[in-house]
Amino acid sequence: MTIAAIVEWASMGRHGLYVWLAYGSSLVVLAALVLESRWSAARLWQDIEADIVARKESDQS
Amino acid sequence: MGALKTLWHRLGSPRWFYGMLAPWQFGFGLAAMVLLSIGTIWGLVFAPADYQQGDSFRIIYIHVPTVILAQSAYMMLGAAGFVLLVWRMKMADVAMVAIVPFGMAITALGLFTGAVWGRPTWGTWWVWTDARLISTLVLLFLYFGLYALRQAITNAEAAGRACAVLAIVGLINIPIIKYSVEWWATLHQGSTFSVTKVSMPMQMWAPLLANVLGMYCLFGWVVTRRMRTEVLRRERDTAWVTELIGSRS
Amino acid sequence: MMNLLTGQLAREFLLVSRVRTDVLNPLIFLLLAVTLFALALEGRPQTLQAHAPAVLWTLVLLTNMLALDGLFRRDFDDGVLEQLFLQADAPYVAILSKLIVHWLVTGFAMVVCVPLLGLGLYLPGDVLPVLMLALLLGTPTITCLGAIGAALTVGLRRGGAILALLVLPLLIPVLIFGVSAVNRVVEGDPPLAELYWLAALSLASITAAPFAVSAALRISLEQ
Repeated sequence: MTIAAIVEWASMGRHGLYVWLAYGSSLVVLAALVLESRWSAARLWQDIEADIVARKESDQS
Repeated sequence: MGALKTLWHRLGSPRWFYGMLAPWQFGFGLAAMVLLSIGTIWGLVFAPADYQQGDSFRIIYIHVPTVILAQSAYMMLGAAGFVLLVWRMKMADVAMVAIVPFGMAITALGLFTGAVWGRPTWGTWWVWTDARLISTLVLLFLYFGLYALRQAITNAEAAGRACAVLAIVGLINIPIIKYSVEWWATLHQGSTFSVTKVSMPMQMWAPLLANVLGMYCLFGWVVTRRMRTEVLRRERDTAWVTELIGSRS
Repeated sequence: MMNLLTGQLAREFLLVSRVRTDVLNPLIFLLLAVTLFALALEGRPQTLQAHAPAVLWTLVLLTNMLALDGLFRRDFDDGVLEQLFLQADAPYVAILSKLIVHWLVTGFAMVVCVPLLGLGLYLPGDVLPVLMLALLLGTPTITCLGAIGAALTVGLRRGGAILALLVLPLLIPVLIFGVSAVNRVVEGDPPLAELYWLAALSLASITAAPFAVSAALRISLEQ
């Protein structure tokens, strides 16, 4: 595959702007959705973990 | 019947529910990655260009799955709302909490990719006289309403049931809204995609099918992930959560 | 059953007659908003006439949102709603009479007032009967669907904006057919289909709304 062929493909028959805009925006939104779901899960997990540690410490003292 | 009854009782147990969803989440995630990669690469690289629309046709492979999911997600919201109101199953409320953000994002994305597709194909980003555009916009407003209502009501249980009522009322109204807007002239094409009636060559609909299935799996992953988070959040002070998180750290 | 209904209706009317500003404020708002539109369109008769159906119907929807916000609030605050739900499992009669009275003082009041505003916007006189008929058939849907939203948000301190967000998307068909009916007559065609649609929507929402309102009120009371 030559570079010219890749450029030709990426131009999408002069509709490149629209095609890549659609796919790019989808990638951004879906990735944001996935990452936010993971982050909020991780944040909650750490939050509860800190709670448990704090409870243990207050039990010992 | 006995097995069903056991399942029903287990669904009432957050602990069982949390564990049960883990393999589903993994499976959905894996399937989504595989299917969406196959469908997107196939659609962008190997599928032939449309003889009329040229390469802008390739937007169909991302636009149609998002719009299908926008509607499917709302139907599942309505179904979950019904289950919550009739059987008072708490996990239905958890499902509603998890579905709304996905629905909001995917509906907005469907509108945006549709506009981007419409520009080269019909020469306009947006028309006010097309039933599908307007009903998708209304869908976005319904998602906003559900989100806003849940934020506004402080009592979590009441918020869930209020959202369930709203989701069901919205579900009944969507077809009415759609048919009423269809009164106006339409400049959209007829619906191009259905599983039973294939109006496109295999090289074109196969990647579309892969992306639709992939998007359902992505929906499955996001919803199961968020449901598990929501279960943990609601159960954070119980013994099983303390045990679960204490044993992993 | 009938006695119960008339008794409830009498009570609602008494309540409404005691707080007349609740009835008058939305109508004054409507008049004010039409004035703003007329001035914003620089008072040009042709522009005003062309936009009158759209302006009037949009403002009818928005004004109803203002009026609906208070539909259950007073009864919610002073505990009357709670009493109603203690007496009956689902007090449909009480809810229905509330809806009827509310429609009479807002929806029906608009049926009477809006044609006058239409005249002010240079709508031709022969269009006004259809505008009135469309309003008569359309406003019950607004009241019924709006009541569901009002019941869901009655427990909130600031329900107004969220009520509009919940209800207005569902009222798009009423707006479409209402405007379309008037425009149809302006073009010289009979607006039968639109009026049938409006009537069908109203019948469906009158039938279904009391159940949804009752469920929503019960949820709001549990908070």
